[in-house]
Amino acid sequence: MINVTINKKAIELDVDPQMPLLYALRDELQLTGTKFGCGAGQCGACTVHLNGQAIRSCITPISAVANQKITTIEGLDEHNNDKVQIAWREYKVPQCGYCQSGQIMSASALLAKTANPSDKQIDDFMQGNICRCGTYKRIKAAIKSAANSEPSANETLVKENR
Amino acid sequence: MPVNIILLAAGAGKRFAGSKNSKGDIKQLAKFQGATLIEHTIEQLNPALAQLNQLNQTTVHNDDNANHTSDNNEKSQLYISLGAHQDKISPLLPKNTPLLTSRHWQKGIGHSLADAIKQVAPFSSHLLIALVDQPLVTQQHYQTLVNTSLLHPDKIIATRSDDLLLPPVIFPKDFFPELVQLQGDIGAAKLLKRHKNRVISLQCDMAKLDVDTPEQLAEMNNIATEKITATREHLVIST
Repeated sequence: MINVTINKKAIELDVDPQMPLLYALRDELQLTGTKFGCGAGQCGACTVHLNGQAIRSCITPISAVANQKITTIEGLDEHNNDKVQIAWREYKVPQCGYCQSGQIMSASALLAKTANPSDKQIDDFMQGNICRCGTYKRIKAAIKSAANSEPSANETLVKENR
Repeated sequence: MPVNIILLAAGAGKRFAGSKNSKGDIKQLAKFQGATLIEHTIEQLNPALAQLNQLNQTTVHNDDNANHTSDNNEKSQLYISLGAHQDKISPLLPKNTPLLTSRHWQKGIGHSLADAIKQVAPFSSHLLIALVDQPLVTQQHYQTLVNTSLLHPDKIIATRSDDLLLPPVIFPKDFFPELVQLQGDIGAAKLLKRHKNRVISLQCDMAKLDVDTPEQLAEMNNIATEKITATREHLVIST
C-alpha cells in the first residue's frame, strides 16, 4: 500500500510500486487533466508538482513519491483561479491545449521560485515543455503578466466578480 | 462532515429462499468463502473505512479552525441497513455496529435505500452505497471508489460493468434529496442515468454478478476460490 498526498487529500493506493505516477493519476484516480505525451520525460505534458517542484510524472514511479505531496492541475486552485490560470485565460494561450496543463504547472513552479523572472530565466525554465502549436510567445507573455499581477488582489477581484 | 458507508442488507431474498436448492435459507447469512455474505462484505469494506478515518484524523489535525461538535460526527462509519430477518442477522454482526432499520423494506430496495439515507444524511458529506449480494467486488475496488471521490468530491463515483452503471456507488450530499424520493424496487440506476455528466465510472467486471440463487452463489464461490489459487501460484512462481 502506497500513501501519497494528492491535491491535499491523503490517498492510499494498492498498485505496483513501479507504476508511473502519471498512470496512477490518470487511470487509478481519474485525474485526467495531466496528459501523456512522450512517456520519456522529454515533452513536459505530464508535469505535476512534487512538494512544489515541477517533475515529469511519466517517468516517476509512484513508490518514489510515497508520503510526499503531489499537486496536479486540478489542485492548483480550488476554483481554477491561480494567477497563472488567470493570465492564461487573459492571453488566450492554448491552441489545441494538449500541452497546456504541463505548461501551467511548470510556469507556476517557476514563479514560486522566481517571482519576477527575466526572459532568459523563463526560456531556461520552460524549455522542457514543448508546444507543437507554437504558442510560446503567448506563454511567455502570460507568465510575465502573472508575475506582475498582485496575486492576492487579482485573485480576490476575480473571485468577487464571479 | 465525513464520508459514511451504507451496506444495504434489508431484503427478504425471496428468489434465494424460494430456489429448489434452498430450504428457506437467509441470503445475508449464506456462506461465501467460509464466512456469511454479510460478514464477507463488511470485511471487504473495512480497508476503505480505515482509510477514510485516517484521513479524517489528518484533516482535523491540520485545520486549527475546525469546529468539533462531537467525535461521532467526525468519524466515518459503516452503517448496516437491515429489514428482513434482522433478529437473526444482528447478533452475528460485530458489537457496536450501527444499524439502520428500514420500516419499509418489504416495498423494495428503493424504499430501504431512501430510509437508510434519511437517517444518516444530516451528518454525511458523501455516502458510499454497497450491496450485500455482490461478494466478488474486492476491497481494492471499494478503496479506488473512495480515492476517486476524495479527489472529485462533486462527482458521483459509480461502478461500471459492460456499459452498465451499478453499485457500489458514492453520492455527494447534493444528491441526497433525490435519493430519499426512491421507492419500490427501483434503485438508483435511473438517477445515475439522469446525471450522466456528473458520474465518474470505474470498471469492475465482477460487480455485475449478484447473488440471486444458491446456484449463483456456489458458482461465485468457485470463481473466488480460483482467483485465490491463481494468486497463490503467482506468488510461488515469483518468489
